[in-house]
Amino acid sequence: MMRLSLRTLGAVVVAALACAGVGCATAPPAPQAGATPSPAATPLTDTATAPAPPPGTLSPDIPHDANFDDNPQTLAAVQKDFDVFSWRSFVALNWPALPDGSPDPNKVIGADGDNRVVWDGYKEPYEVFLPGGAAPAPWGQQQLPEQCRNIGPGDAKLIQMTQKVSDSVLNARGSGGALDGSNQPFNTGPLVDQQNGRYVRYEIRINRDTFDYIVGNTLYNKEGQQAFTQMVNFPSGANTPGAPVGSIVIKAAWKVIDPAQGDQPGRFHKVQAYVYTRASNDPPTQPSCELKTMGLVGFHIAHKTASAPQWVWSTFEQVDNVRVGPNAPPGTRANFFDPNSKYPANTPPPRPWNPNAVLPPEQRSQVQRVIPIDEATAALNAQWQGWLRGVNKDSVWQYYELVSTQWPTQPKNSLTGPKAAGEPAPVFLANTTLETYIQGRTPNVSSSCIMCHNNATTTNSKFSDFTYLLERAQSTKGGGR
Amino acid sequence: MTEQTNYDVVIVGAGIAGGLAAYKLAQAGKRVLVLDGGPGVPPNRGDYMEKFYLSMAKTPESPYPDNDQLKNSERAVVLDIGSWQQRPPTGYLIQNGPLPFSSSYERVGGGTTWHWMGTSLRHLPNDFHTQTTYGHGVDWPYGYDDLQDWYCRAEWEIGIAADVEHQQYHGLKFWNPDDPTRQQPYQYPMPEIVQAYQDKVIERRLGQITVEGQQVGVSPTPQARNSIPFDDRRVCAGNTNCIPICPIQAKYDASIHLGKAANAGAEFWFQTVVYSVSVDTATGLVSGVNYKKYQEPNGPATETGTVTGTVYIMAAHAIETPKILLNSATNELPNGVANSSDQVGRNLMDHPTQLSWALMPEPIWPFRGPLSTSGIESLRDGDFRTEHAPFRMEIGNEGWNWAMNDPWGSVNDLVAGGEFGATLRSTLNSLFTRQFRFGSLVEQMPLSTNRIVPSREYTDNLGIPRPEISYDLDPYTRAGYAAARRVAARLFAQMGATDFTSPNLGSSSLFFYEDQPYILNGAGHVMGTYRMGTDPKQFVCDADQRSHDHANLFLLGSGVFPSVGTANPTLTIAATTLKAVDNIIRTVLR
Amino acid sequence: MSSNTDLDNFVGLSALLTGFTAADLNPPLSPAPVAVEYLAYMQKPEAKVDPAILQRLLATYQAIAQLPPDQQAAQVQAQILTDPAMGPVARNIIRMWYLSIWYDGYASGPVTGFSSGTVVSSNAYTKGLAWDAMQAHPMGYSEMHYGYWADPPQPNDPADGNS
Repeated sequence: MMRLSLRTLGAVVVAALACAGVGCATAPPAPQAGATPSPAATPLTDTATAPAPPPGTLSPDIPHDANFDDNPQTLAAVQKDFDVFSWRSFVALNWPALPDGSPDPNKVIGADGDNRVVWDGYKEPYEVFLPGGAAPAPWGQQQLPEQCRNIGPGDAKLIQMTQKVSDSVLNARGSGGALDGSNQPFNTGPLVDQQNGRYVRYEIRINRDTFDYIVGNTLYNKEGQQAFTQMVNFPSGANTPGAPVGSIVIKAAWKVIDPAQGDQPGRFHKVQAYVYTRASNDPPTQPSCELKTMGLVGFHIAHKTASAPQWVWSTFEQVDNVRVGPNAPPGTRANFFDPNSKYPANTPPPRPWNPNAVLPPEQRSQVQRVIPIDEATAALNAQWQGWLRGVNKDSVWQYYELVSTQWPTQPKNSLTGPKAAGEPAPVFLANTTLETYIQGRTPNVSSSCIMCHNNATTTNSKFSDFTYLLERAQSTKGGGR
Repeated sequence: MTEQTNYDVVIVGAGIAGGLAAYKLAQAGKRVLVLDGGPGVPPNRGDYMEKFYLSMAKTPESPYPDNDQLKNSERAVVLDIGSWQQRPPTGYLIQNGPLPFSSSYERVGGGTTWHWMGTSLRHLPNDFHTQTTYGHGVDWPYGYDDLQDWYCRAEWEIGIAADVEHQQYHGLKFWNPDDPTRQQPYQYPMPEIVQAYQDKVIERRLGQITVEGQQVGVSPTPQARNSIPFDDRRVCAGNTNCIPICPIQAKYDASIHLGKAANAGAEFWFQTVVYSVSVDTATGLVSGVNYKKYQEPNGPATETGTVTGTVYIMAAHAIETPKILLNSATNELPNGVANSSDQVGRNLMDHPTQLSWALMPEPIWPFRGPLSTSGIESLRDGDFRTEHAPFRMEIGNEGWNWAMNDPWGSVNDLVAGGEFGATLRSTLNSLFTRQFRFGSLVEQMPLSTNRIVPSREYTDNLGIPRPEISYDLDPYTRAGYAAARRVAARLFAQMGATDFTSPNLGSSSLFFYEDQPYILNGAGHVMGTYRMGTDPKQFVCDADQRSHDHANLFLLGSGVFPSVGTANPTLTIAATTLKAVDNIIRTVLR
Repeated sequence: MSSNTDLDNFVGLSALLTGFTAADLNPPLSPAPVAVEYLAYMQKPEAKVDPAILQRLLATYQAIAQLPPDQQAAQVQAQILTDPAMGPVARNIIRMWYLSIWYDGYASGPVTGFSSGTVVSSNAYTKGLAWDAMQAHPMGYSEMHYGYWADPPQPNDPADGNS
């Protein structure tokens, strides 16, 4: 007897919901192998009908790997396979979540406009790399923070990342969330939004497979890393039956959302978050915690798969980051660009870099995208944005775009040899909110996910399989790091 | 003229000395202003790296703006050494000889640490009193024990990778600086950088050998290079490019401390060239530093002015600081500022570097890892120092790159000779994988005739005099150079390597000792030109690096070294800077 | 007889000239194929390559490519490298692959490591073959991990003469 799998059921539900929208007279088109790419995006108006996606497109199932059915296999065709993988991952990760973090099979992404997301339930590094190298609490159990506890409602999101890895890590967390990372890779500088003049905040989240690998191999403290003599090798996702999802590491960038400052809340996935600034002496900073509405502006998904030992790197941005995106109400301003500003482009604000600061307009970040989003990806974006809008014209998820997906064109290269990076395509990739100041086309310097993460190590300098997380481990002998 | 006042400290120069000083002073709550003639630190090093990639000659200066791209902040470059005798001069320095001063530097924010190797050795205890011990050189006004604690603090401030257990030679001692009894052991902030495979081959092939009464050994080198994640910087990935630029900033450069200083509240004015210092002759105190600002790298001065503070610190480099002080001559101070000793600009020293290169009998696979991970420290001290200068043998990890411009040299030679295809590839492999070189840094003695003065004939784009250099090697140093060559040859023979060292007799860097030809190379070390000592008649500043002539003027950098030993100067620059600044904070600006 | 594209012929010729395989020189799916860059550079005016000589070079290679593989290197020597017009271009192609530089004056005089020329691009620099031949990596561009230098490199192509 054939049993409808949950996946198929979900897809049928999606198709039915899509058809419940305006003007759904015909069945959704079947996907065609080798179909020509859609024409370049034209912005949809409020009354335009988005074509419904093929069944199973909008799905809560995180793809385990990309699907390849290209003949002939060209760079453009495989790039598209990975870009589709990115969009499917984006949708699945942002699927409405049940309280335990699993995707809600009875809901569809964006059906209510915005929604709490699956990856909210993923662990954060400070929950894993604890002071004294202590063992993390099991998956699903949240730890209570000592700070931020009595400030707001218990279900406010706690998004937490140490901006300075050498500072002591908060030793607990609550059911809410706090955002405290505000510096970009290797101290290249903070990003400040145009509307509020406030620092953008970052967080990192890891999925179950990643967490289990770290805990199972005692990689969460220095001593465990020293005792681990094999090469770090996170689990790879694969499309074969029974294969795991594979390790996923997410990095998100958030900005303050305040309609009084001109923000358009409906264009962002939003959370109520504790924005936490820890005490520091570089620069001298007082600790602070505020409850703010934050909007997602940047979203990295790193996913280790069987076809990519160098991992697959997907990155999304909110559409108004460096220019005002489609369907914007009049008066909408770009998040990080002002055509009248004289502040030099892609230059961090003047020091001191104090995360508590509210900067005047003339110092707010002026960001330009150095490498344009290529036409094929832009066309794909328009297609997916249309499908998301088709669920609900107020879906916040239509206001995100894929910048690109970086993947290794030579995945079989030895990870201990001179071509370990596996000749990534595209050669360079940056998210303007996350690698703002290292955009460019200079090899080994300008932002390239794989080239940079190839330098990541454990606390004892062993190659750590493309993640910088393991360098956060502390010692069981105390004394911080 | 613009007058800017009310700083506690005005620092001239945003290199490692100025950066560390600004950081410590700002952390102590002082109002600090740093002036630097070059552009500030860019948001990322992409432009520097791209220029490096596209340079035909991968010299130390190759990533940074050329002199004709940045006329308002020119400096000495390696490519101008070959034509040093030409007039008008092809380069920034006017070199009068008889030998060319062969080291270069940078005049951009962060200074020469952009392209230093990262080698961070301490001076040996005997290096501080060579006159007393060996009858050569000039004693420092204090000893190793007085500087030890500051070495430790500098090593933690910069981030040095080394194991104390492997640094215990020639009397070096290490103790925890926070322990007044000096009993507690000291640990470097990071474990030593793993040695290259070739270092181990060399060690094995040298076996037990004694040279000039010293047992020869291979020692891992303390380096300002991350061996573990440290201070938000990545671990070394062996880009083998420390000089001229580390693409991933695993190697420390002073932009780190410029950032920390700015975060602590220090103010920075880049593109602000200080050209003279003013003194109130009634009080003898410095009353201001005078500057020209520019907007365009090759454009005119857009503003001139004077900045005043309570304390003034010169940290502009061992050529530029004396140039500024000597350029400040007035009727009342005809020898310039801070120069009653007449030593400002004199005693210019380098570590002349003897290059010897050979082909090893087995592959050692150079060009992998940092440019150098080990050295032979054995001949940095010993009784022979009564006869000839000591030297530190740097074990190069880049084959014949410095010696013969490889791979560019040999590829072209073989192609011109008709080789191609599989045989070209295997010949190159056989050649490159066995290439090896020693670079021996020889201690140079001070000569008062080795000096920099502001040129009366040539100025830069802003009308400021260029440096005019007179330079030579004294016999004791030449004897050391010759000994280095002898020892290298002996060690090659011991290892079964074929010596390929041959001086180019047409070179403008040729000199002789006992009728043997040698080629002079610079180490990139510029030292001695405002030396410290107790006697105001012979030294420019005292042991606190305070000018003997002006109570509110302090001098930082390798210019204060009265003698130079064989250690790369940067770590000692950092240690003496921290020491001097601590004194300023505790006693002068109390 | 099939007709290869100019790029195919250029890559095939370069393989014989350099001692590396066509797959090494022009990997499939490469996002920044240096072979394409090099061929394009040779066709720029500043490279000073007579287009007729370039075409003759590629056509000569195409014919050589029809021969048994073990005869091809000798024919490259006999027909191309000794030819007064094609030889200098072919040798400059070798230099370009190994050193990422198109040298000036290649047709009129000797070229040494100090001759003038142009680094084709930073991408090309990261793919220079001299560094592969020495089993290392371009100075300034390493894809390897901390400590790799403590051990000899992984065994390489027997053509290196080292494994």
